[in-house]
Amino acid sequence: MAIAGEDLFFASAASLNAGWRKGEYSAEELTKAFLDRLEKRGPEYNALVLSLRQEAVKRAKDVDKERKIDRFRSRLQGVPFGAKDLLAWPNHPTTWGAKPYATQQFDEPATVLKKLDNTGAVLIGKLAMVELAGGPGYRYAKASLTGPCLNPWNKTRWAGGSSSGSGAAVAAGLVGFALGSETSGSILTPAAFCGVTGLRPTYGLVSRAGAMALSWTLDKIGPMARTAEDCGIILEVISGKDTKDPGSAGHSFYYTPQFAHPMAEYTIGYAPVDWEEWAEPETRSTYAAALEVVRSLGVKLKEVELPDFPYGPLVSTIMQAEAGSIFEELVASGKVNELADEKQIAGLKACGDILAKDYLKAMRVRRVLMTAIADFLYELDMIVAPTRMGTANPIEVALDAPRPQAPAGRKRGFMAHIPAGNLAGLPALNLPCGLVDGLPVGITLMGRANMENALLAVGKEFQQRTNWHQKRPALT
Amino acid sequence: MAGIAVSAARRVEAQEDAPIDQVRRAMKMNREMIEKIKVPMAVEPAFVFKA
Repeated sequence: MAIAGEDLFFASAASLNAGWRKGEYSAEELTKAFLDRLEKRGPEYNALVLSLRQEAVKRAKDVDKERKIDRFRSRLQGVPFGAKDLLAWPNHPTTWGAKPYATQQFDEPATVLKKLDNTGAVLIGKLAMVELAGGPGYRYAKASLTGPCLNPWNKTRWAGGSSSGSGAAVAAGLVGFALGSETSGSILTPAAFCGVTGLRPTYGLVSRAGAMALSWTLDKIGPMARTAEDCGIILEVISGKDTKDPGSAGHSFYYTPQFAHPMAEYTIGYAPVDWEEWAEPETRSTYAAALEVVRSLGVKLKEVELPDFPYGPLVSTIMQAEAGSIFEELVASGKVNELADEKQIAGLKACGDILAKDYLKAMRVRRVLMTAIADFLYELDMIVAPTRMGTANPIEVALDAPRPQAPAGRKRGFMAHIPAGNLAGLPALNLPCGLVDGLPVGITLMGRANMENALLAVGKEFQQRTNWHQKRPALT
Repeated sequence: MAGIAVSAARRVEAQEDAPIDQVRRAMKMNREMIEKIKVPMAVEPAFVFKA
């Protein structure tokens, strides 16, 4: 049966798998249809690095053979997906989004890609990213080997970074789901800007073997998909112990929505200042409506705010110190100058200036911070906050352009939930929650370590009461 | 000609240095903010990192 119409491209991964199981289409048909779309639309958004047509079609045919013998492996079997191009896939370049690495190849696949392949998901393309996953910082959206990744909702806006292509490709219906990575914001930001559901897992839950390292103590790999349920299904497949990753926590995740607590048993922290003052004025009514939906779930909302720490300086110092070591050879060889973004180049060169004592101090403060956040979350199941304070940035505007000074005395709320959550290694889920001037915005649920099932349960309930995750951009 | 080349090189160098100087300033500010936090002597760095 041929694939007709656009709806299928915006179906959840679980639905795509269900249709394949029922025989509504073959994995080969589905894969070819997504490949056609990815190859046509992907370059329009600078979202595609490499199409893997030949081997994807071959893999899909193998998957179809399994259906004939009723060999069902997972709820992702037969579903075409894309991967951020920092994940190794043999026999093809893995560019890390950066010119100096444009031709590098690895012999072994990244563990997460191998796991997905083993369960019958079909990798159809490598997706664009900010060079070196943003490194120690970058100024412009064009900081990528493939140019600025354009937002499918409005091509004058950025898709967000650094998992830019993953966000754009899911939003535009070019893949059934995608993998991204986050060191500090690189899943949540493009998920919010592109209007997709993105999950940053607990540190150590998902192996990073075969992934580019930016910061050993901060890097995480996670799903970007259409629904919270999809994120749970994907996380179950990619999680687990891996001796190839020294940061692996040594345990797996099992998605268990059937055991979700009643909503009334969840206590969710929030800070009114985030929604009423930190959020940019044009977004506030949308965010207020989203908070009302959260309240209507029947959860207990409790006013709180993050413990007081210099989250931004801590995450920057740790990332700069670790990236400085990781990319030492790039800097020493002079190839760092081939990168696209001046700030990125300067940042990597300056990383060598971080003193051991400064890194150690930051890591000691981090230990105190982790205890403080664990104590803070003791009486909460999670917190909720706007993922970003505004909508996607215009492509040409500097990302580090100074913002207006906040009024003195304004409470801190959860403005720093992204660096705070990454420093503490906590899971977070972005849920699309509305459109502002035609651009998506999202809210983040952030919980205690290894509490992904709680986030996903609340996320699923939120998505049963809203349809923002089903909205799709009018592609031109 | 050499003088022009040198001054041109210096201009280029100055332009190249500007972003580095900005990064270094930011790094210094980060360091100063982190230094303000007092940490008990027994607190070890979060190297063996388990969330």
